[in-house]
Amino acid sequence: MLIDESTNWKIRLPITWRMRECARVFAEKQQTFEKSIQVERNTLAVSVVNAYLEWQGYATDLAAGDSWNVGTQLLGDVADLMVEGVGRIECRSVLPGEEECHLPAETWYDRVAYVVVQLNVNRNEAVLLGFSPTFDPEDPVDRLILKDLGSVDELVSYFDRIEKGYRELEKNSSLEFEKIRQIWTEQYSRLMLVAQLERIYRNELPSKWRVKGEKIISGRILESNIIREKFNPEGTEKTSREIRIEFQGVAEKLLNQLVEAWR
Amino acid sequence: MSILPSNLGISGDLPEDWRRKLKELIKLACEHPRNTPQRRRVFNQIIKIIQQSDSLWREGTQYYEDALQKTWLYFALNLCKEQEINTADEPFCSEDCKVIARLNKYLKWRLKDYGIETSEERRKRLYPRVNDDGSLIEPIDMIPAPKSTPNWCDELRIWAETDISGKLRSTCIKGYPEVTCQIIILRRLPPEATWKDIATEFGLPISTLSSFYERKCRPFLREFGQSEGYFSIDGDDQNADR
Repeated sequence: MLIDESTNWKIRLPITWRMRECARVFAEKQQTFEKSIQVERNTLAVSVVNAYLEWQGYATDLAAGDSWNVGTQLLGDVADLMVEGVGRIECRSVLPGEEECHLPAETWYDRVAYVVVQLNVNRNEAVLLGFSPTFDPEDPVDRLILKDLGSVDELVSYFDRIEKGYRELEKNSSLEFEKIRQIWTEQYSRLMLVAQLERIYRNELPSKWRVKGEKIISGRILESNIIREKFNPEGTEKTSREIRIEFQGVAEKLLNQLVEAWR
Repeated sequence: MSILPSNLGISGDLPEDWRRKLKELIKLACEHPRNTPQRRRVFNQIIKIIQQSDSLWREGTQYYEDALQKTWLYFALNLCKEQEINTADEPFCSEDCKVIARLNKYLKWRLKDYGIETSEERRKRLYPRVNDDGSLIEPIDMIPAPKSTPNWCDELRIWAETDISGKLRSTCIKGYPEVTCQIIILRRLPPEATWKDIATEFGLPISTLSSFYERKCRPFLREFGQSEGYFSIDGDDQNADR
């Protein structure tokens, strides 16, 4: 038998009795068969991804996710998991033979990454197929092509960039970072902000950073203008154009400093 | 029924070339501090090599995967010499460690633990026990009677309709007193109206509705969910039998 060192081999994750029990308890009290299946699969997906992250020493908070709350799981097709220092990720499942993974609309925003597992329920085993980083909220993606997913090694590198970016955002004493910390106060929204800026850094030409970054940090896309009201407290008399230009400057400086942490 | 691992020699470990490869990788992993991307990427490699070698003990018992999960975690915690996290005396990176043999030994111990737990449960069910006053506790008394609880969907509907605190009724979109969290939650319960339907009904953009739902209504739903109890993957539930 030869050792195959190519990246084609995918990591297997055991589906434990305990995970199956959690999934059963959640699924049992749903009203329809379809909803039961959906909740069962989402619970298993979150559980196995959580187990892998545990092997790798990441701290997670299952109870903080919508997928683990009977109220919020009832009103949406969600399989989210909070990862300390990284953010809120979505764990989607596919069945053997499927080539695409559907992403329901309720998972399009507020996710730093999508991790996809294949559930082989008969074997009590899941295959960790790969992941996709967050996408442009202005151009949401409703399905992932499985063969295009990033590898687990890329997942580790991507999480590392978010962790580094977040640490920079927390400790950098420059005026721009201070401003951002004032308007983005919650840990998981700051992580989302870092993930979005990382996407811009990775996908966009530096000449576009100002404009693309402004949309993100002003909260125009992620929080529909709520943030902007905070940035421009009543009494100041700036036009929306002035505010936008100011935010563009902040975005550019922010990205230039984050790039240092990511290189 | 157990399936014998196919790739093990008489030593209970992998062939020489696999063992060397595994040793190399473990040594490499331990050159990097814990929780660094370098260590994590090498650990991915290590997991893949072990899984490919198909050399971990396998059997088809109820708690096999639970024991396997514990084994992987034990491996991760004891890969390198790190006193703050090590649970074993000797880390896996030590010179003369037979990695697979040791993992299998640990795995079989955990299976034994689960075996004891299961037979203990069975014993309690099958054999009658005696009350303080000498009367028998029949096994049948120890099986909880099935409770006919409504499904969560109905419970949530009742909770939203009664709205004891009045918060669901009083939280609305600015300038739209009729678009409250109560209305949104009831509309979104199965068989749910689409966001588009609701948007048309109230003449509002979908984005306004969904961000109102996310920020204002979701916290109420989480409160409802928390009151239903928490289900732990590690087995320390509260109210899990509800």
